[in-house]
Amino acid sequence: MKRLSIEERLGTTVFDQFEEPHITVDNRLCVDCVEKPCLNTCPSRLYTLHEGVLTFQYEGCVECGTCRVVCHNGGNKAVRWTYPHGGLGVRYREG
Amino acid sequence: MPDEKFDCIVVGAGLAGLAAAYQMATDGLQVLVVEKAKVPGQKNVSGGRMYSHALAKLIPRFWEEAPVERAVTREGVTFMTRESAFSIDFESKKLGDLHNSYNVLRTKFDAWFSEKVAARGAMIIPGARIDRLHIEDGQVKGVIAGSDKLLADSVVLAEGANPLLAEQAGLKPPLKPHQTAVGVKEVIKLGADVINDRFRLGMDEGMAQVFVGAPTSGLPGGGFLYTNRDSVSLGIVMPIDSAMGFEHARDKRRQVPELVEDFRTHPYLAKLLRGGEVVEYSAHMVPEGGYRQVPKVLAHNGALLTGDSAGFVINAGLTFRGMDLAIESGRIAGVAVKRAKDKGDFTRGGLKEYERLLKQSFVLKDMKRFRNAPGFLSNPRMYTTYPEMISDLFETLFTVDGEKHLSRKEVRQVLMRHVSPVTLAMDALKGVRSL
Ligand SMILES: Cc1cc2nc3c(=O)[nH]c(=O)nc-3n(C[C@H](O)[C@H](O)[C@H](O)COP(=O)(O)OP(=O)(O)OC[C@H]3O[C@@H](n4cnc5c(N)ncnc54)[C@H](O)[C@@H]3O)c2cc1C
Ligand code: SF4
Ligand code: SF4
Repeated sequence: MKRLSIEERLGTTVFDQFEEPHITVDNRLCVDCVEKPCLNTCPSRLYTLHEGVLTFQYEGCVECGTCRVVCHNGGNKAVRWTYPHGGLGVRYREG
Repeated sequence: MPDEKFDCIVVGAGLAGLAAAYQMATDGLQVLVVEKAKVPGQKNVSGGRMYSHALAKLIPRFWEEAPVERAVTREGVTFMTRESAFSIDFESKKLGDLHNSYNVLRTKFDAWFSEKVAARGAMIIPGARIDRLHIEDGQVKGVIAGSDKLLADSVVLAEGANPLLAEQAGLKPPLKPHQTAVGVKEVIKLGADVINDRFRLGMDEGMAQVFVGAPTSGLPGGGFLYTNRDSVSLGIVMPIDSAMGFEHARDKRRQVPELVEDFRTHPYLAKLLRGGEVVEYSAHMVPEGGYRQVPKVLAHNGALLTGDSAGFVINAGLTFRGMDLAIESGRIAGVAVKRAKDKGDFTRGGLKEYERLLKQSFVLKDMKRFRNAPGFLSNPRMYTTYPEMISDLFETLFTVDGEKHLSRKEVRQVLMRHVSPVTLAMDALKGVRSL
């Protein structure tokens, strides 16, 4: 089987879209975050660096909670984390 | 939403919450289950093998009606390097006849279980997120969802591996990276016949296989493969501290989303999964801290911690269990709430029965028994040195070129290329003691 990009893989998962982000990142705090563990641990790769600036995109989040744990233990606590409102967000068909 | 007061509100319609509600509804309690997914199960992920014993206590012979995928009759353990795979393959019809364990897909399974719970008389409100606990004078008295306040004498917290409510209310310290792992999984559609042929399974027979070494790119953690009816669940579970990779140079950091791709495209799996189609990508945390990380206090004034929220998972290398522990802890929570109601005491004192019953049950007994497994499994040699040593040894044994003559001394030399005799003996001893 061929390798799939993360976008291709996330394309197989169903999401019920919503407007207001459930996770917010105060990326001013990221400037002082040396290790930036969110970058390599988010399974959906939603944390990226653009010209040194951390950007986060909430669409495609599978709500695992990993970024909350890594950012608050080794990161600079920039992540504010909650689940999407009831019935919204990732909707598994297999699970 | 209703404005009556419940005996118990259960947060989360996963296995722990549903088991608690089933038990309480059967005992005639007024129970409300609140779940954020539109349909219970749609937010839940497992690797996929459930040991049957726990649910069978609540619903005898559940497998006759539940949407289970396959009865596990074949077990595999594979030590993997980038290029090789050494497997232990165990097949036994007896495992199936004993109904020992089943491969499951949680979306279907939890939806079925929630219908059973509703049929017992519990009320289930899906599509609602609980935002916080309602606490008066240090006593949990209900939950808050948006502008709704729901009142109850007790709350069973079954919110899973990311226990926001318990943390927020101070019932549990915030999760640390070494207490939890991240699991990433792909469901790959192959067709039932292809699965039966490639994995040498009869109709409804299933396989559970764990992998050590290459799947987590030589770091602690492991890979898994479970067969469903017409698909395969493939994934990795990696402790978050090792995923963060602070002990490694930055450029060597493991990219979590790529691990499962490396795994699926490994020569061993590429052939097994040829022609398959990825139909779902998912990720979820797993509490993996073991016995020592379970909070001392599990019964609070008006609230009980169950399942993943309490950290009830055992990773003992060969066996990986969370679902049966979730179900049994939920059931016991249900029993404890009933007794608290009989006594009319929902304080910690009245609910403490939960901790006593848990200690007597397999939940805490088994967790205690495997208390050294997390330490043993965090030994980095398990994931690099030993898979490579095994691979080297068997490559040597299986290579015939008319030159080499393999004597005991040479076998020993192969082994010693990887590890000293003392280290090997010590690791073996620790392994025996912890597993
Ligand atoms: C990749 C992976 C592989 C695994 N493999 C296995 C395996 O092979 N065998 C095994 O036995 N175990 C396995 N486990 C562990 C097992 O899945 C868990 O131990 C088990 O699901 C725990 O059940 P639970 O009911 O405690 O939590 P969950 O099943 O996670 O249920 C929690 C529920 O609470 C809901 N919820 C959470 N917060 C709120 C809120 N605020 N408001 C409303 N609802 C809320 C969630 O939506 C969810 O439905 C695996 C886990 C993972 C991630
Ligand atoms: S870990 Fe937290 S603080 Fe660090 S870069 Fe990521 S989001 Fe910012
Ligand atoms: S919750 Fe998981 S998927 Fe979502 S942003 Fe955080 S790490 Fe990524």
